Amino acid sequence: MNKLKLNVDTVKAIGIIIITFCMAVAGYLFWEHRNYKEPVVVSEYITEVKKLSDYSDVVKGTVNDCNVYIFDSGVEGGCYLIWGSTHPEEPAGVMAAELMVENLKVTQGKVIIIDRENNSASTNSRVGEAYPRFFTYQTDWGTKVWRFGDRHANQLDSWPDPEVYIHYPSGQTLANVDIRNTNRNWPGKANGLLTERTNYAVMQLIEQEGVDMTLDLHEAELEYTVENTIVVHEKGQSVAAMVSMMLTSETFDVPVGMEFSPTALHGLSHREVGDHSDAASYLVEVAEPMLDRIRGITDEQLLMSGKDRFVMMAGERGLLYAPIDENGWPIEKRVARHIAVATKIIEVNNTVNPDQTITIEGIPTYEEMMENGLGSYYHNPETAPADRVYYD
Amino acid sequence: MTMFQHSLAVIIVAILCFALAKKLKACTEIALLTTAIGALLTHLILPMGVDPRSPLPFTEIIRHLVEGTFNYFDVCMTFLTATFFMTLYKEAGGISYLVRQIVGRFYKKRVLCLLLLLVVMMVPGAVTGSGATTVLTVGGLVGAVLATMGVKEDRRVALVFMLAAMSAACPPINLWTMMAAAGANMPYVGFTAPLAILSIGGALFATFYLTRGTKSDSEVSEVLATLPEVPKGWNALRAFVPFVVMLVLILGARVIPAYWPVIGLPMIFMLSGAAVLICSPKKVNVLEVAVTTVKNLKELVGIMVVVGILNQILTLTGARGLISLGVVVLPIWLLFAALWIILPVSEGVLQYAVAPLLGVPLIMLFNMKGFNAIIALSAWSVMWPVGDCLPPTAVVGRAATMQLDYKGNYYKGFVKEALVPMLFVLALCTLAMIFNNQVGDLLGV
Amino acid sequence: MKNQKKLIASLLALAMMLGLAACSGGSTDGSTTPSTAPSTESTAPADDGADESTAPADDDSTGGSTAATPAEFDGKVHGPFIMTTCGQSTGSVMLHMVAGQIGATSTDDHELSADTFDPGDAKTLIVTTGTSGKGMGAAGTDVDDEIARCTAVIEAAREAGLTIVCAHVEGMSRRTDANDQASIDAILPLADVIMVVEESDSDGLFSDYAAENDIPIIIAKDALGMSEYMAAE
Repeated sequence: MNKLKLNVDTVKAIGIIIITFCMAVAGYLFWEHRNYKEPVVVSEYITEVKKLSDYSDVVKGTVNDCNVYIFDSGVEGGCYLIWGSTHPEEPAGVMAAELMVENLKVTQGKVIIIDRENNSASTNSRVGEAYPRFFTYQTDWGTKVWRFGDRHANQLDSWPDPEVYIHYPSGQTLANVDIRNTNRNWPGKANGLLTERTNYAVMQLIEQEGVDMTLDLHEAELEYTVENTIVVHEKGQSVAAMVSMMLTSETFDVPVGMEFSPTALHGLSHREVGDHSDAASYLVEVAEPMLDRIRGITDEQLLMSGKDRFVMMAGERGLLYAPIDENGWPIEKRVARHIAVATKIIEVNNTVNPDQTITIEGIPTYEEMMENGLGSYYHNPETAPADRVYYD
Repeated sequence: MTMFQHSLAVIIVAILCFALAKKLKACTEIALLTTAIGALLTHLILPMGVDPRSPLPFTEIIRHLVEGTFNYFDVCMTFLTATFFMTLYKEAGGISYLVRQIVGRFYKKRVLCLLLLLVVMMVPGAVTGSGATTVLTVGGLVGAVLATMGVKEDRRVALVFMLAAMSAACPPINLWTMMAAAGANMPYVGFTAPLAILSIGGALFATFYLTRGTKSDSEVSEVLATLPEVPKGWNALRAFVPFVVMLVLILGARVIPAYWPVIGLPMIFMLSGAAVLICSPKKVNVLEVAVTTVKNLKELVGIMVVVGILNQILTLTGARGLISLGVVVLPIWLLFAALWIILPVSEGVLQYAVAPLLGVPLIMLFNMKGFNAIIALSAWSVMWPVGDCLPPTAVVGRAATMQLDYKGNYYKGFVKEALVPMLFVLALCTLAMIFNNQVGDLLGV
Repeated sequence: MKNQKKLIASLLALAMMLGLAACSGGSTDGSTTPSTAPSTESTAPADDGADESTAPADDDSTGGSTAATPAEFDGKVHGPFIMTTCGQSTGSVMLHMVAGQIGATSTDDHELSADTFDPGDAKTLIVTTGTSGKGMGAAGTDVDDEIARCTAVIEAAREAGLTIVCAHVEGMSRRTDANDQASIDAILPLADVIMVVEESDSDGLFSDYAAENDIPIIIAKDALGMSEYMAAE
């Protein structure tokens, strides 16, 4: 009996040691994920880097007090706000935004870019989805690393959730976790939870900078109806239609469509930013097989290559809204499409609204990115002048 | 080896591991953990198909295991605090008081009494979305009243389980609907009527079916004599204040959300527990209640923790995706014919994680086929909780047997009794799913 | 070919600018008031580009083809146009832009109903098919309502003597689900002329239907290419 007791105690002790070890290892990895800073070598033509709290102090001191990269030509023209990483599980957004921040030159008008709109959501993983913590891209000078994250803000920054999320100000009911989803709580709320305050601060930015148009960069699962498309507020329909037709005709192998922002679905940037500001609001989606629930093995390879045999099988049975083959949806293509849409919006808007003219240089074309890859467009923070290195 | 074969092998090994662990008399938590580790090892050993794959370092494996344990963190917090609140109430004598009041006033008005019990059971689950919370808060009380009404033990547990399952499905909060709707970018709008009709319909059928043949023919005074004494000082005001606190805190956030702070269910239950301490005429040892609560719930919480790990590993290995793919590629007629089995069984395996796993692809599929996604999702969301008495997790079923101190055989006793109401609910939901467009037109959604 | 596309696109954008200058209080005026019924009208005068596009369609120059040309059909649809969408997809906005490019008068009303239908001097009603997928459930589009609205409008337009065009210009992404098909199935039998892009007809759905029913069909490489088959008058 004593021997048995001893054995049980021994097993318990070993169990406690193993659990403690696992907690320590995982704890360190969680800490590393939460605290890793992404270096950004800003373009030499940048005019100012502000913090979001410069527009509203409701985010001051929070993890979502993100960098706001401003390219002001000093020449009268339009003002364009682009942001990525509303959903950090959609990496093409942050990569496209950062590529523009590192290369952009504005010669007329003003362009403002936010790489990480919901920074908090990039500091943790999506529990249950077995995501990698980071994703990497090979550049000419070495490996560039980004945090891969969740769709919702980190619960360490915003917890608990309500039983059901009631959107402000529409009163529409949404899933409780969506209170931490910044693309469900536009136009934000000054005294709300972290994500509501973040969007409130961005709305203040839009008002104070006199933003004429906004673009929110996203990715979507191939099973979802709104795929490879520009979702647009009424104010931007003409521009979006032209952008869609021109890119489909001249540039993309897979067409980029267009969707009207539904009036009955609240909290999304393409609806609320347009409704609550003078800006025309656009949102662009590109295919990311990693987001499909039917995906196979979950790892960084899938994330970056967009190759998944299970998703392909669904496609063969006509269950997808985007094509996919053994070449997948590589990150180069996804980022290049985002940047092509972003620049084409400027080009078309210059014609439609000449008083909002913006002229830019330094951004590679879709064809250049597809041919060269993205690596040569990101710069080495180790060798860059210190005053051009910022951290997201 | 293709990725399809790889993930299929992971599923087969996982099933074998669970079966073997159970054969070796391991408890469910250990069996599920063994399943997860077996699946993980299979993933690490077998080739993963033709596409290049990322390395999976040892430290990342550990991270996945630990991360998975947080899958149901909020749910576990709700279980613990809700049970703490009701155990305080029970220890203070509140439950005894309420049972006496209900029996004294309604024992002879049988139908009214049963309807009252139905309402009492439906409210906690409807406002929290958790059937286990229903059982852990009011299950014991309702079970005690049912006992005085002559309902046999098997049927009592079956009824408490069925009402708890239906309460979780009942609007305004249905977590399965909410999770799936969020994944499909649908607003949580339009679900109230279909969820209410299906869940309340199921609850009514279960109530009257499982209490059939019983009579309230004893004298009220005789019945009261069999009930435990109530500590002195209890009255209606004291008895109701904690529940009023709970409902005000929950409903306040619904009525004036712009001005109401978000405090979360765990804090709501803790504040309700504080209200018990203030209202109780009897001193209660809080620490002792807290320890008892944790001891009683360690199995349920343990299962939720381990199921979280299993979910994470199945996702990592592609097994979850294969299950999901396997469901959505079924012909639509076969889906209509099989979802009444697939949904409860999957709930028994993975709990709430089935909503994004199967719910989201199914919504997209049904939407693609031109079906009414609101009605279809409502029907699935009432079918899922029916599986909460099924292995390996059986969370609500276990909670019911624990709260009612059930001594009978789990499957041959209580589950067998619950089978007819379960089938009724599944049939009702299947009909709603098949005639989704007609039901949608009827309800205007 | 690519330069030609760019030229068309530039001309389109220029014409669109002129067209939008004449917007009749639609949703593209930069107003902060949200509009649930976007309606834009462009009445840009024909410019050089428009004159050029009235030339007979040339397969080589557009990469497209006209599959059927019955005697009464001259290979083009003629403005002024009234446009609407059966399913709230964005095809009608695209064709409205193209109409602006060729200098045609065009009205695009996504909520057009038989009650509010005013043919004026319009010669053609274009109904684009394929449904919007954004916002499922309570935020979604009811395709049955859309079909009822559009079939009533078509009836009114036919009584007024307009040519009815069933269009599908957004490719296979609008031919994926049952609602897309329902809108096509409802409008196609009511069409005097069919206008589609190559991708939309990749399985021959529209061209087969046109051949079987002896209905003229216009197939362009893409939406921009439709300018070759639309005339201002």
